[in-house]
Order: sequence, then C-alpha cells, then structure tokens
Amino acid sequence: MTKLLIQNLSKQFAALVALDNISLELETNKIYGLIGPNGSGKTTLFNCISGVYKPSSGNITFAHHSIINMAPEKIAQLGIRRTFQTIRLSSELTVAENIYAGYHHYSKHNFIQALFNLKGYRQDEIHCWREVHRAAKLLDIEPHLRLKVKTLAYGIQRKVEIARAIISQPQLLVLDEPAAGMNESEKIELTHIIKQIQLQNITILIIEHDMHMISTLCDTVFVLNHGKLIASGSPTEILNNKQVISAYMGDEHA
Amino acid sequence: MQVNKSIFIISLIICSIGFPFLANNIWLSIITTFLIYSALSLSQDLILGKAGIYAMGHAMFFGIGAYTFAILINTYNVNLFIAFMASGIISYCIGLIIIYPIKHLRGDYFLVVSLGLNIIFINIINNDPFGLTGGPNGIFAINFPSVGGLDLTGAKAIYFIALIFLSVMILLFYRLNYSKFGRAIYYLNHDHIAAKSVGIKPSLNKLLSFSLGTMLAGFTGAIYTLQYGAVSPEAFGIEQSILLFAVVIVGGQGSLIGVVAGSFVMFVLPEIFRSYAEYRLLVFGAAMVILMVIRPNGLFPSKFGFFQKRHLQQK
Repeated sequence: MTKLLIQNLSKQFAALVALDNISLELETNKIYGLIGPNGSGKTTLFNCISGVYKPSSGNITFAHHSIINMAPEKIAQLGIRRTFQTIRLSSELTVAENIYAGYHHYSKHNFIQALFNLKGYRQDEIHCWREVHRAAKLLDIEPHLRLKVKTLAYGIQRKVEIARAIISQPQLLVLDEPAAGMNESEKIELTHIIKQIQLQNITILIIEHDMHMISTLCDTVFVLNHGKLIASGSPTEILNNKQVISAYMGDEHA
Repeated sequence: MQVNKSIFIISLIICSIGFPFLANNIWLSIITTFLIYSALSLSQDLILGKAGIYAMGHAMFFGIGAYTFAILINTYNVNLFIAFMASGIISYCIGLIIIYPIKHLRGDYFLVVSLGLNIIFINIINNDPFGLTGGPNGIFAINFPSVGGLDLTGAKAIYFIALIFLSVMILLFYRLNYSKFGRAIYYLNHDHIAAKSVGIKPSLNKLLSFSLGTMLAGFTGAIYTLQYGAVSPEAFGIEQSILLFAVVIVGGQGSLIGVVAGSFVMFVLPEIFRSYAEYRLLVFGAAMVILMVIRPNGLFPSKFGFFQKRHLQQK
C-alpha cells in the first residue's frame, strides 16, 4: 500500500533549482534510503515533506491527504515525524522532558486540571510518563531519562531525538543522517534499533552517508544528484549503477 | 528540604497577612506598590520570559487597564467589580487585536513594533480625542463606590486586594510548567522548528500567551488605579515599558523568584533610597551592567522541569 506519494516535485530558491521534478513512492512498512552527494537536495526534500519548505510545484500525498500546503505542525499531527541533521533538543531539559515533547499533542488535560493537580491531570501525567518510558526502552536510553540532555554524549542525544520522533507512533519516520557523528559500535546498535522501529509498523525514510548501513537496512534506495532523482532500486543495484558511481566519484571512475 | 520549604511558605503567608497591621502607612504603600509591580512584571514575564515574545510595550496594557477602570468608574459610574473585569477583558481584546497581524514577526522586529504602539497609546491619551482620558493631566480624584458596605480604598484593603491578586498569579505561574500550555510555549520558545516538527501549534500558543499576559496587565492596571485614585499618562510610557523589560531580564527570564526579586530591586529600592535620588540611576545602571556580566541569565535563572518528582519515582 502506498503511504507517501511524491509527484513531479520541484523546489527553487531564486535561481537555484534545489529539487527538479522528483517523483517517488513509499510503501507501508518498508525502510527507504535517500543518498546523494552533498548539496544534492536530500535535506530540501525532507523539508518539503515535513512542511518546513513550500515546494514550487508538484504534489505530495500522504495517506490520501495532500500535504502540500499544510503547516509543519499539521503534518506532524497527521503522522509524519522527523529528526534533524543537527540535533535540535532543549539542552536544559532532561531526556524524559525532551521525549515528552513528541507526545505533547496527545496529552489530554486542561489548564484547570493542571492548576489544581486534579485526578484527570495526574492520570494523564502517569500515562504520558509510561509512553516516555516505552519510547526510551526501544532506544535503550532508559538509564538516562532523568539526566539533562546537555550532559550526554552525542550518540545518546541522537537517540533522544529519535525517541521524541517515534513516541507518538507515527506512520512515517523521516531520519536526517541519524548516524552522523556516531562510532562504529553505535552505528551497529542504531541499525538494530531502526529495524526494531520498523517492526512497530512504521515506514522509515533515511538520509545517510554510510553505505554499509544503508545496504543492511534499506529495501529501496533513492539517489539524488543536483536535485534530480538519478536512480532508485535495491541497494545492490544502486551500488553497481554507473550513474551513481559517477555522481559520487566523478566520470573517470564510472 | 520539603519541611524547610513549607515552613518558609507558611511564615511568608503569616508575615504578609500580619504586615499591614504593624507597618506605618508609608511602608504599606511601598509594599503595595511592590505587590502591584510584581504582578505586572510577572505578566510581562509570561510574554517575554515564558513565551519568548520580545514585546517592549507592556506599560501600554497596564495603562489600558488603569484607564478603563478609571473611566468606567468616574464617567459611567459602573459597579467596581464589573469595571475590574472589564479592564482585564478590554486589555485582552486589544492585546489579541494587536498580536494577530504581527504574530509572525520575530525578536527585534516585534520589539520595535510594540515600542511604537506604546508611543501611539501615549499620544492618544495625551491628546484625548474622545474626551475621556483627561489629556496630559489624566483623571484624578476618582470616587470609588463602596462594595457591600466595604470601603475598598483604604490602604489595608488595597494591600490585601494586591496580595490576593499576586498570590493567584504566583499560583498560575508556578503551575504553568506542569500544564500543556506552559510546556507548549516552552518548547516553542526554545526551538520553534523542533516544536513544530512534533505537532505543537506555534501561532495559537503565541496568541494565547500574549493576550493572557496583556489581560493580567489590565487587571493589574485596575488595582493600580484603585491604589492611587488617579491615572496620568507618565506611568504608562515607554520608560515604564523598558523598566519592566529590564526587570524580567535582570531577574531571570521565566523565573518566578527572579522576576519578583527583580521588581523589588527596580521598584522598591528606589523608594527606600529616595533621599539619594540623584545617584539612583547611576547606581542602578552600574548594578545592571555588573549583574549582566557576572550572572548573564539573571539574578535567579529559571529552572525548568515539569515531570513532578512523584512521577519520576514511578516505574
């Protein structure tokens, strides 16, 4: 079943064409990779999907809704959650409080209940706290829940960001370079975690430069170069594709 | 720790209730002023510290509340309670009307716009186009009706009104971090892109925090009118707005204790050292610079945490 459908998407910044007529299709419960040299438009595509940028033309359909003119918060509420290339967490808050942000929309108390600490509020808090625990457990960061984010290692902060994105059980998870800055053992752990996330019926789209990780994880890989979709297929097909090799290494290697 | 805290709070309550019966009228009036300005600074803090909206025209909403209250009572002989509610509600509506078209402005732009609006407001009340505000002299010798046989204009009565109002505001601010709204504005203030990516609505929360802040300022304005029995334009000018802005920055953005301490420093100390009036600004200027160098996050920086300890202990 098609989850996300992108049709003829283009994005132009003044004279620069960042995305040029891109069409792709994501199906339910699969892991997709998005690769390409620096500046090829990967993050621009992510920003168009999550509503940060308004595309110049084309259409994006998610679960039968056109999300092309939707505000980012509306798209998030529909079930698309993302992480960022540079970590965006509130460093003064604890890990638990950061993860909770992802569940904020689903917390059900009103201001009067919070003001007087009424029963409905207390039940809601306990429910939210359980959800935070569940997300933290999936990413194996439970021991850090009460620590401030700024005291933690980079790899753990990355996981906190992913936990914040998956706590609301989204239908599509968009990860922007999740393994950037991680060491080898952390990358292996992350690969395992992403597989676990897929088991929760979440479609995943990843930007990543680590080809090993992409080929172990992904069912289908899309390759962007200069804003154009130059190839798509299984990881083995992509690794042997001449156009892809020339985009990365230059024409003489192809 | 918990016991110490309760002892502190109980003694604070006893002291604040007992205070007007022991103090002389000068001190009573100074402390009442302090209570009113603390409430006002807290309402500015909701906008500036909690929601991160750089609005520097807060004295305008204080003035709208004060003038509404004065005009309703002086010109239209409205019931005291209704006039009080009206001053908050009118401030709220004007706040909403003002923020709505400029809600997308950020930081410095917002600051300039709000400062400009404050100047327009002062011009309006000075020029008195509707014959209501009394021009540069303001409205004075307001006769407040008694409410159910109680005279609310006595120094003690006003002290208690201000005390109750401030206590309600402190309760509101204390519980804000634990509420959905308080958390939303915290996330938006710290990283609005990340907050939007998890589904938190930016404009709704911005509108709400700004208009609630202006409503609280309006109520405070009404209490101010009640205390002085008069209103005049100079109490609501941009100097006041800048001072309020400074209170929040110096005290600590988003910090309850910080903002109350900041208003003590800014509004009460000058009264105590009135005899050294000519050195006042010099000392304050120097103190502010030193403070910003050694404690850049304010006197008492805010601590934020919103899972109550009880929840943290649960597995």
